[in-house]
Amino acid sequence: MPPNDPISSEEVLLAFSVEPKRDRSTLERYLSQYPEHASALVDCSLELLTLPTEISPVWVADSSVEAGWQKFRAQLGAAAEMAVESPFAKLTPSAFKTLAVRLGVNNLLLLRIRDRGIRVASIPGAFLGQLATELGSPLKAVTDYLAGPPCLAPSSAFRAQGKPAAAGQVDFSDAVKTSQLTVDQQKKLLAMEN
Amino acid sequence: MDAVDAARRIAESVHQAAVDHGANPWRLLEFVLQEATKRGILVYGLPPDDPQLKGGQAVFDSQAQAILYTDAGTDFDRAFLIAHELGHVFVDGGKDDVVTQRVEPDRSVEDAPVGIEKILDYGARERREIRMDLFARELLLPRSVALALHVDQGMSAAAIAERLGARLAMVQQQLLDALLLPASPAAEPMPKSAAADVDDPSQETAARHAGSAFLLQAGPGTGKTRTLVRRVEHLLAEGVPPSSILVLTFSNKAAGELSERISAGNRTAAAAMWIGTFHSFGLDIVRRFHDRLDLPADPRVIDRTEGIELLEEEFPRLPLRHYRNLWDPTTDLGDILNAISRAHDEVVDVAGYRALAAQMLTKAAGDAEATLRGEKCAEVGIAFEAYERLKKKEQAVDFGDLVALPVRLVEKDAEVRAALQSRHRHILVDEYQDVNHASVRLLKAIAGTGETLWVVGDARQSIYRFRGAASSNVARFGNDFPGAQVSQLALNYRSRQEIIETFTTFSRPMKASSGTLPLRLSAQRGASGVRPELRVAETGEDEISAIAAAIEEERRGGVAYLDQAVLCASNARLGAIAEGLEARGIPVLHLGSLFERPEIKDLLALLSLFSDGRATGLVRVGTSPAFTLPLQDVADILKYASENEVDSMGWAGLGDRIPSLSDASRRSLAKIEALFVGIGRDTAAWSILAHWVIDRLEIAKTIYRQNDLTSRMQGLALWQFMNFCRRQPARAGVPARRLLDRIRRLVLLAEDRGLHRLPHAAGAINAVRLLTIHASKGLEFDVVHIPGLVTSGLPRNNMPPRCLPPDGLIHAYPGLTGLDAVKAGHEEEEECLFFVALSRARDRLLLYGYRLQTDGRARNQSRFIPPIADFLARSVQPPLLPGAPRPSPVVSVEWEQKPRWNDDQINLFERCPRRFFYTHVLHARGRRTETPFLKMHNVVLDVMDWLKTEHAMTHPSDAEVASRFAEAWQAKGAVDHGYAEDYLRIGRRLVDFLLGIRQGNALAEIKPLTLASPECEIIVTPDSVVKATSGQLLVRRIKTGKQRSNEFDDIEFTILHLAVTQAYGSQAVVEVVYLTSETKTPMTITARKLATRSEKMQKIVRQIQAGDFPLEEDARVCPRCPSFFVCGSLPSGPLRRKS
Repeated sequence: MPPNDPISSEEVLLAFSVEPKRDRSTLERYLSQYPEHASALVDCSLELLTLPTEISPVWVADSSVEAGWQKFRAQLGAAAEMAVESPFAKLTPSAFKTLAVRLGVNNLLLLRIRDRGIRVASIPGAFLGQLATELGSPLKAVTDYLAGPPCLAPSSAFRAQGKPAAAGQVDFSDAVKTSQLTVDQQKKLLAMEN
Repeated sequence: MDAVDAARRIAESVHQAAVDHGANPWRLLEFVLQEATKRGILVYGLPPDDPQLKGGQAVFDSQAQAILYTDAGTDFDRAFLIAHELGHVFVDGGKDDVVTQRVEPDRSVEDAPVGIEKILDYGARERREIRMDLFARELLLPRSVALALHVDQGMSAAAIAERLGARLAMVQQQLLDALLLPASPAAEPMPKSAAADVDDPSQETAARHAGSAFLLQAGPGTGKTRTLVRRVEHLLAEGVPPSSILVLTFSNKAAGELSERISAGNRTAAAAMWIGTFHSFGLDIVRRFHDRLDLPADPRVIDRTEGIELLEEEFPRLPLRHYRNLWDPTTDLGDILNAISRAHDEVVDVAGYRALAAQMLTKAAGDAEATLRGEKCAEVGIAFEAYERLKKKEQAVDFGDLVALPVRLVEKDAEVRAALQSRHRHILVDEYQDVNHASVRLLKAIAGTGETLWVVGDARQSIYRFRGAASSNVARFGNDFPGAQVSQLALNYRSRQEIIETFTTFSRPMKASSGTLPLRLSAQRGASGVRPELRVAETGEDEISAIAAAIEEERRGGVAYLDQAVLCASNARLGAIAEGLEARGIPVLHLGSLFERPEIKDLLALLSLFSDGRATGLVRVGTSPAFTLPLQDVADILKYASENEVDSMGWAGLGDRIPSLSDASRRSLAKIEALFVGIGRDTAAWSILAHWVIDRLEIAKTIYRQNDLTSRMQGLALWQFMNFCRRQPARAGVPARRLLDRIRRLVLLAEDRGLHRLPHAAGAINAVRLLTIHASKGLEFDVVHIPGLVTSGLPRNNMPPRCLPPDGLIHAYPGLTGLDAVKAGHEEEEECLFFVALSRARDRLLLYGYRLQTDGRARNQSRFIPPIADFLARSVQPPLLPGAPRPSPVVSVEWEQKPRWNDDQINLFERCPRRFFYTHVLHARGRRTETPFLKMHNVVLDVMDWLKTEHAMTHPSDAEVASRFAEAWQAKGAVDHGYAEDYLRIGRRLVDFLLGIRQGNALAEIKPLTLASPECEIIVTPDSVVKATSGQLLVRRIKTGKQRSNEFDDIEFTILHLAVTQAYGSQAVVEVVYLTSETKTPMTITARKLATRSEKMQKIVRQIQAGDFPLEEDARVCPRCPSFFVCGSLPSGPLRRKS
């Protein structure tokens, strides 16, 4: 099994979520076993501990959980550093738009890619290569990032009230069909798959 | 201008610019899409389950500069979502990502401050979302456009909604806002003191404190909020992550203001911080750890009225003696719930409460009074247990739980404590003097050693004792958080030197000052050369004239009405002053009791017609120029309706069946009927009222067009009322009727007080502000008038609660009995109230009093005056601006024969002449809510009547009684009620007691006794007459309740006494039987009282004859009166009556 297979990520989180005790020692054990899922694990553990399961009218600042546990994370040291940084993070709106144009897609499809709504294994290699080039990042860094679990919220650390709907991932071809691209754009992208 | 206004203004200008460039404002979806394109925003409609919507309805992505929205529903739904997200672009610059969970096109600009909305606030992010909803509504249909369409072009709300394809409720809400709220000024001046540009180094030092818990004593006008904001800014500058900052306040308003002010400096940080009330914070903890509290994820939060409803069912089953009230338990339950809430404030649970009560009983050692107090506490303990059990069953929590539950959880659960401690690294508390024992314990648990705890407050402004607040927590701060540092702000930006000297002097002996740093303020604004002044008038009415004269004097001196305030301790006196000032031509900003206002009562009376077949509402509706009905015609309709037992809306169509009605009245009746066309049983009250107010009656339009101060106040009241109606607790039943029932209950429990507060938009109106001192906290005015500086005016008399706390419950007063603790708290609070009032003034402070009571006896000055007398200028003959006397209206009643009344009726006149008129002259029966208690009572009365008529001289057999009782129970009892058995048992017990006292004596004949006078006859029928073995005649009056202390002062007993003496001479005595308490008492009255009472009776008889039926307002009685919603002005014309 390749280390970054998204299915294994879901499995790890699932396994963690059904642990009888999800305390710090359990978390540390998981972190050392699955350092590639460090960030998802920390988020998951916090969510399980502190999130109400239904909608609450009291808005909880999304970043609060993350920051509140900064110290905790710092203690985790190396494991936390394994969390992959988004290669999209530094793009300005106009750079983001330009990127879409250069890739021959629209902003919606690019959003789906950025938010990891597409299974990385289904994305054509050629497209990944072009994306990495345009982003100016090593291919490995881009694929590593895209292999993570779907982002629950837009680029910043926003979290909706209540438990966010479990965002699923789709295959590249489905994403192409549901992203309001022109027929021409779709044709070109789907052709890359072969 | 607040943030909401700002957002609306932007929306309106965007709308206007788009229309100017040719956009079609009627095609909403196209309109918003064009706007988005113009701003370079991409818009994608997605199916509802698209993961990219992140589980929300719409998303704004700042990086992609894209709006993603749910592509479902109508075009209006789509347009609204897009308009909402555009708000994030236009108002906030489109720099943040947003997931919008839910939009509310008809949302209100502010919540009605009643029920749970009063204490639960919104976080910064939700506030922003609310703002965007209002932005969206304004973008789609600006107020100015709505006005033009409705007022100038005569389009109805429905017509506008149809043409726009918009939701009717949104159009109606927008029209209500546009027509009823005054247009806010483009820029609202900053609070004057806050604008001061002189920096106080003590503020900066306080903001930068580090290393230990810190208490900042911030006297009045020293820039408390500014310092708190500075503290937050300092922490952020130090690199503290905003998400680790927790700011706790005591009111929604304070939380909102702080959030706005911090937001102005750093929006992202403000959104990431936790700023809110203690209660919201508690609720957040309850939700997060609900499983550990054995509660559902989103427990229902109930307010006091819902708490009473919860306990009401169970109440008759509880083994209570002192608090047993079968007639109407509502107020008793209210008192008991207050006691329970006090226990929550002190984190005392049921077991603890009962232990305290038991301790009192042990200590009482037979002392009768102490035993009584102990027993009462024990009874509250019983109710407490039932209440907690019922709440648990309903999976509900009340306000007290919101702090008490988290305290217990955090104290015992180390994991939760660790989670909260690591999340909230920096804790700031505003208004620390308002913390109660529960909140201190919560702080101690979360703040640990308190190194990062920073609180600000002023013990001398502690005026929320009824919420359990104790200023002693300020003095105790060092004990609660060892190593704490205490400091104070030194510069007052608000008041002139003379005013500061006055309140500083007053503060020295204040009880709340003990254990705090002495107040030492320098006046940033210097001296004015004018001393505060005490003006003493002759009478209470003169006091109002003196205030009026002073207000005019100040106005002539250049101080506008809106910069002057009259501050009173009590709402009642404030109401009288408001009326008095208005009568003297001075504009005042004062809503008073919302549901008592004429324009609101008009609507309530109309609404009551929907569920009252007897048409009582017509008594008031007939006074409206639109539906004129003469008094005689109203009386004829009511008589017909009541005689023919018509059902809901059954009065409709009566016009044709009553021959005596005039054609004009028939037309009015038809017009009223037409208002109800199309309204279904389940139509929400708000929808009915909005339809009437906007279109059918055009009330809103009329108010808008008149545009004078009176109509503006009416508009504000109407807006507030509609806003209140918007959100009603969901429950079974006809919504219109439920609304009326809820209003009665809110008024009865004084839970409607929040609605006295004016909506924000009222700020721009040039009128004198009339506020209670409580409401004036945190505000300031150029000129402040404080009336009522007489004995029992300020300080007010201590009125201990009916359910006193058990000894030892109140932590702030260890060692004091419950009664003494309440008293000590009251005295402290009254001092604080006066301190708050004095320190609201910027330039001029005027105090008032008067020398004589209404009965001509002397009224002493307040004991608060001597300590500050040296600083006051005194004027014993102040200038007056008298008002014209108001004549009371008289009804012309023509009696066709000499009227006959019974003792009950005369008794009712004594309690309220107007109610007597409605009930016995007009025969307006009104719809009564028949509680199970009332039904049981009716069953007992039925059996009593049967005994009186069928068995006056005989004893019925057990079987006969059982059968009669069963029959009455089936016909009148609460047979379907969950606790029917209990009511049955209680009812039967009352009857058994009644039967028991008939035994052993010879029954004598019961005959009606008559007292005749030239004007009328008064008939008295005793309930039972027995001959005692001594030969004495016992004439009995039977009451189902229990005896009140001064009950024999009631006129009915004088009547009974006179009638009995007249009929039987001195051989007979009157005895009163109380079924609930199972007691018999011989009636006694002193000769002097008998004489004055007899005179009173004569006076009543003459008043009835003269048609003089003034109304007697009483906050505890009126909400229960069947005529509550119609009371006030009467239809015109004479009335002919047979008897």
